[in-house]
Amino acid sequence: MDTKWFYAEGNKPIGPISFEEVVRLIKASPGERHFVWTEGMAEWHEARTLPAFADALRSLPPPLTAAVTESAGRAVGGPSGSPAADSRLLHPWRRYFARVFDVYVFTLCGGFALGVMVPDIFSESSTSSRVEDQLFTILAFAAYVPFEAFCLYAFGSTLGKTLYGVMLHPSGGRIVFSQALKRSALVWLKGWGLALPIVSLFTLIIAYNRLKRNGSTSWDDDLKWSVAHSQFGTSRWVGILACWAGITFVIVVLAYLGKQ
Amino acid sequence: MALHVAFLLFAALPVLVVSITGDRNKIVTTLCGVAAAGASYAVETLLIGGLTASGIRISIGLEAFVVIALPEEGLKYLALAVIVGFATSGKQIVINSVFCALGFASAENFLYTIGLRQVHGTTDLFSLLSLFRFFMPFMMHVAAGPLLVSGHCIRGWRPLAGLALALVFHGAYDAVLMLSWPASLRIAYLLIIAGLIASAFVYRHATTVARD
Repeated sequence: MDTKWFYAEGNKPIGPISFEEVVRLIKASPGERHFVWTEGMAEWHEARTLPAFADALRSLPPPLTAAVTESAGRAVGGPSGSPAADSRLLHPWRRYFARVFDVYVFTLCGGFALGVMVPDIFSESSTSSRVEDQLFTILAFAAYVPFEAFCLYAFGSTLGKTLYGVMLHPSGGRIVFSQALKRSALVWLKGWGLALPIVSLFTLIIAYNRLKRNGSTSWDDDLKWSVAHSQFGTSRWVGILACWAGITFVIVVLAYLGKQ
Repeated sequence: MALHVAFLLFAALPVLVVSITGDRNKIVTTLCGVAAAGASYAVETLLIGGLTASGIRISIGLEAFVVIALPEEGLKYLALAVIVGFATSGKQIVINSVFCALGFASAENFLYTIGLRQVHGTTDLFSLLSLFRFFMPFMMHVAAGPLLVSGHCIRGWRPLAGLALALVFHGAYDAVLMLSWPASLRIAYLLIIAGLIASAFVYRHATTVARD
């Protein structure tokens, strides 16, 4: 096999190196996650998920999760309360803003679709507009649950997650719709508190503290999923700002048109 | 003027975002889509002129499927086949088709924003129609992208089957809008949603089936 590969050592890509060299590097650190890239790939992939590495890595154990290392630490008398993962690798805010971005885009497109299908739904009514806005937000988050599950099933990611470099890895290797739906529902319930005012503030804070303390969220522990993050360079920052500028522009124009 | 510039930037936003990723394949593919948009307008103008000159009545069906859908989807397909090249992995083909469609739709919206201002000035109607183009034609092109190459990704299909599928989808979308039925907008949007779901399944299938 003369295909050249790049291997991610921390945040530094090493390569181009041969397939055999990549396997040697991976076997030197079993139980860890190893990301590789070769020409033709759109993004970095975990080596063990690629068919090319299936045979070579069959004898290696899967990567250790935070839950496993914490349990192992306790079992051999490790210090209780010690962080199970390097907190620099957790990036809770990237995950938060990735989801917010996704919900915004979904709400804009879904709202447009609703307006086309059922124009009366956005007609003026006598009830308070703040109540309607809040209800719309709650419903938007609920409606987003199956949509996110479908995106994870079909594409393995969502627009916001791709933009912020957040990668989900299910326990079984490939994302199944039912598992994706379960995860999305758990995030909506445990993370966002059903998007209910005040309640969501508490659930988000609790989820944030748990992630910082344990290295994973309760829903990822329940379903045994893991979350990785790609490099965050200048170009990604610029792309994120440009996308948010675009969304802001659409909202401002729609608000202006709504008032006319 | 500022509003016009803002809408032009918004129309070009997908191309700008792809450009700063530094991914050579995505940038080339997106720019091929931009070029295909420019070329398709020339072809459509020639077709309309030719058909008119030869006295053929341009029905809604002829305009939607032959004058509009055929050049646009055909040139996108040509760009993917000849310039970008069909990649060895099904997943990469689908990704290329989406970025080609992104470039095409962005260029189309950019040009339409210029045209809309010439007709409407920077009025509310200009803003409404410019945004409309993002939520409908743009999404329609993005939905058509994976359909265009589905023939290369689905076992048993022939490559041109994908092009035919995209032609039917795009033509039906345009025909429905041109017919100006009371429910035209709803049917067109339902078509877009169906196209997006079908495209998602094409992508899913392309990543699960190993290609030769």
